[in-house]
Amino acid sequence: MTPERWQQVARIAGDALELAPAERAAFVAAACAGDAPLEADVMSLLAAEDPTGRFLEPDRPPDRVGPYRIVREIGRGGMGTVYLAERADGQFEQRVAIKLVTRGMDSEAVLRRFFAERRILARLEHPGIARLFDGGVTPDGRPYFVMEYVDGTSITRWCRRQAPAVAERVELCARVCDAVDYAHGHLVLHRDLKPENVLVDAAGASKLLDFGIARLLDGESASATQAGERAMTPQYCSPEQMRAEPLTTASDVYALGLILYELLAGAPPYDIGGAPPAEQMRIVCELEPKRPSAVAPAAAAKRIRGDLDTVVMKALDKDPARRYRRAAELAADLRRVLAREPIAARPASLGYRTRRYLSRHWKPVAIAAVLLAIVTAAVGDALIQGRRAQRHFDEVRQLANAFLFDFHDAIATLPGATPARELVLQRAREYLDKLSAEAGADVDLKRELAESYIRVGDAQGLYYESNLGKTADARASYEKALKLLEDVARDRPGDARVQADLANATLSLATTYQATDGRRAGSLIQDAIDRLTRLQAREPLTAAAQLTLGRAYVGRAEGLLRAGRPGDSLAARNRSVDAFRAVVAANPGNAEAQRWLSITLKRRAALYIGEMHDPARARDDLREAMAADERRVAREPANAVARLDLALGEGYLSAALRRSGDLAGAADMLGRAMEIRRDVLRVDPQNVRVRTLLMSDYGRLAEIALDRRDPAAARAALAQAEALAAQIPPAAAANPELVEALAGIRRIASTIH
Amino acid sequence: MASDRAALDDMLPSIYAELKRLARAYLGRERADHTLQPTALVHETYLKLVDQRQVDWRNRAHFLGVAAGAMRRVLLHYAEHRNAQKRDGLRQRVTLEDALATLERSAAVDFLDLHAALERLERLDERQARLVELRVFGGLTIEEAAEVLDVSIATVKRDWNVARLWLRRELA
Repeated sequence: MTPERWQQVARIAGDALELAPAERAAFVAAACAGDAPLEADVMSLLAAEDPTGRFLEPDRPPDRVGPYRIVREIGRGGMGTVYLAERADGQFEQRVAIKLVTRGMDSEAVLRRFFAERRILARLEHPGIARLFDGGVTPDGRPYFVMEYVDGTSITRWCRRQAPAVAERVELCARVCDAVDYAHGHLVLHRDLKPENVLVDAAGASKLLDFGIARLLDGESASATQAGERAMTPQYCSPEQMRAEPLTTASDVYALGLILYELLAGAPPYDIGGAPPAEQMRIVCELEPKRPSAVAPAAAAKRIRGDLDTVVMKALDKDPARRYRRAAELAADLRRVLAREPIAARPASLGYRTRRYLSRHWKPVAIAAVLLAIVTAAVGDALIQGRRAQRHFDEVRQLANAFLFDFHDAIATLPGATPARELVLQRAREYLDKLSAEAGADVDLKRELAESYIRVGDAQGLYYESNLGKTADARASYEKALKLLEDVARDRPGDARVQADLANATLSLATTYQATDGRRAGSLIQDAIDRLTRLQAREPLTAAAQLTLGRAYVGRAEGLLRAGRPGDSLAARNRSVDAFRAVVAANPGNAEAQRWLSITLKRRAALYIGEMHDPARARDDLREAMAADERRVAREPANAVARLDLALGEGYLSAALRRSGDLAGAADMLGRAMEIRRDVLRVDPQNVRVRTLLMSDYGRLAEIALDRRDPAAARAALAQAEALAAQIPPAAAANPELVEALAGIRRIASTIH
Repeated sequence: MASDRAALDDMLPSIYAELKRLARAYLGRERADHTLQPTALVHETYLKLVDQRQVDWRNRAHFLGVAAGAMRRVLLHYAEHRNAQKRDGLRQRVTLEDALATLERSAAVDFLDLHAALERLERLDERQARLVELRVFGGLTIEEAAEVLDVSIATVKRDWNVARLWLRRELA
């Protein structure tokens, strides 16, 4: 081909590309005017079009993410890319690490899990754990996490460079275990522990990266995908992780064992990098690794042989139940080795190893072995209970915590019940029940148990909302928590915290009745209010107790509104506003209180508009709420939830303006709310809730148009609403909010014709 | 402006050096199964060599344009020596080989095939070939490429789409 000919081909092809695919052939034929070879050439070029449009498209790092300027890339994995970044506004000289999630991951699910868990993750404050500061979503819809930046090298590399003595390596590892155990105590599993996630800085201090991040990124897919496709590095997977089974603290312990092995032996127990998935599965789940002393250099091997071998092999047991249950137990044994004290771990017995061998090769034997193990454990349980009651007690307690863990994790990863999960839940409850029976006069334990029951109840109630059976379970858990707290209150009548906890638990119990028994819910809410009011008469309420009081009044206001008593509802609403205002005034940084205040003001404004016909007061409330929302959006521009909160206020304000006759103002304000919702929907088209809100917005736009006697504009708005409704996936079509919104739009439409 | 570009060309040796140094530093950092992207490297080179608060986006575009060419030549060197190294049994797991592999994986092309196709395109339309180089090896945006090539954004978009059709047919 000559350059001239190519110019001709390129010109026609370029023009054709701007047309719809169906129109191209006719256009090309006309443009080539009978030159058959030219036409064939252009058509073959057009046939080479990449349907995804991604061919050769560059994927360059962003210059900014949220309020941060990217300095450089510091790492890259299957889940995303990590950048070093600094505040772009120059307010702080703060350097952070930003993990930007890979394009094409299920961004909506990642974000949803992030917002569900951010408080838990943000609470992980430990010198050995890199903090998670914040997260959000970029304008093109990719979630990101902002984390503490750690300037260090991976623990294995650090050991290769510094060549510390065996004792020093063991101590370093014990400190890593401490950090892991701290997170476990906060019900967070790491799930992706590997040397690259354990950094050691110049001062020799270790820091764990990405705590809890793996679950945010992996989420539901964990059970659905093949082990080989999962995002975790297979090299550091536990057998249960390979089999896509639920993970526990013991899974993190296994990963710690692998790191410890590598630090001691100088090499990992196995290298599965290039192996096919089936072979990886066999190696991780069946191959017994060599003892670290058999692999280590001679000088170190002497120190490792014996106890350290035993500790490592216990942490690496294929059976999670035979490992250290907690990272703290592993740390304790490591420190015993250092102090030359006897360790808790015992080498696996010949009998156990035989059973394991048989179990791998003969299924009936495996079943028998499991049954045997259960029976033995039960008998052993009884024996221990008789002989060493206190020891048994501590063990049961630890087990209960571990089970709670399983439950908490499994429940959050896999919405929708499975028998396995229900079993774990049942086990957690059994253990809590057993512990309660033995709690006796131990006030602190009762308090701890009450907290656990509330956590279980929250999970049951939150995740099984639609399931009546589970609502009853949640109720039972809250009732148990209440009973324990009442015991504590009897023992410590002057204790303000237990009174506040009681009110909180009562309020939780009330929520389980809200849908079915408004009267019962109302009386429980009243109990909570009375209790806090009595407490308040005695001493000033803490911020947490004030928040509970405010929430109780919110519950009362909603109940009264449903009961058709708007005047009383308003009175309760006023009290909740007062309570939240008091918290915000005393702690301006309390984001939770600020958010409650802003939501409550908006709800009160809705009441003023809909029931009191008092748009002026509504406007005042809305302006106050929105000023706070706007500050929040300015602080966190990428936070979709904050922006949607703001849109909610703008929507209400638009209604208030319409009521007071300011139609232009109403349309303008509604336009602002719609802009935010359209934005969010663009990034997150699956979000049925936002789609529903936007549909209603068009309905209200139509109403405003009708007020202005402009039926054409009203019809256009309603057509937009119908277009939005048409894009709703069939699975969500029965969503009650959606059905209601659609009915509203059709109602408005019927008034035009 | 012309002197600016001359100044940029003067920077070429330091751009080469920085590209290689960064690639080594990447491996040194030994982070999670990293994959090194050529475009990320070019961008990082820029961030490293130029105080980005001092230059406007046009200068950045020209810098990236120069670096894109450097990147392509560095990768060519590695691609040509890759097979020889394997034959020698040298397990030289270093520097830009990773970047090369990442590019080939994400674009689903063999680098040497792409390079040869680009040389053929160059003989048909030099600007289109240069545009592909800017985009693929420098990660320039459409707007930046328009600045470097001194043509309109619409022209760049059109060139980009047609050139990709041609390359995809050539590499099929």
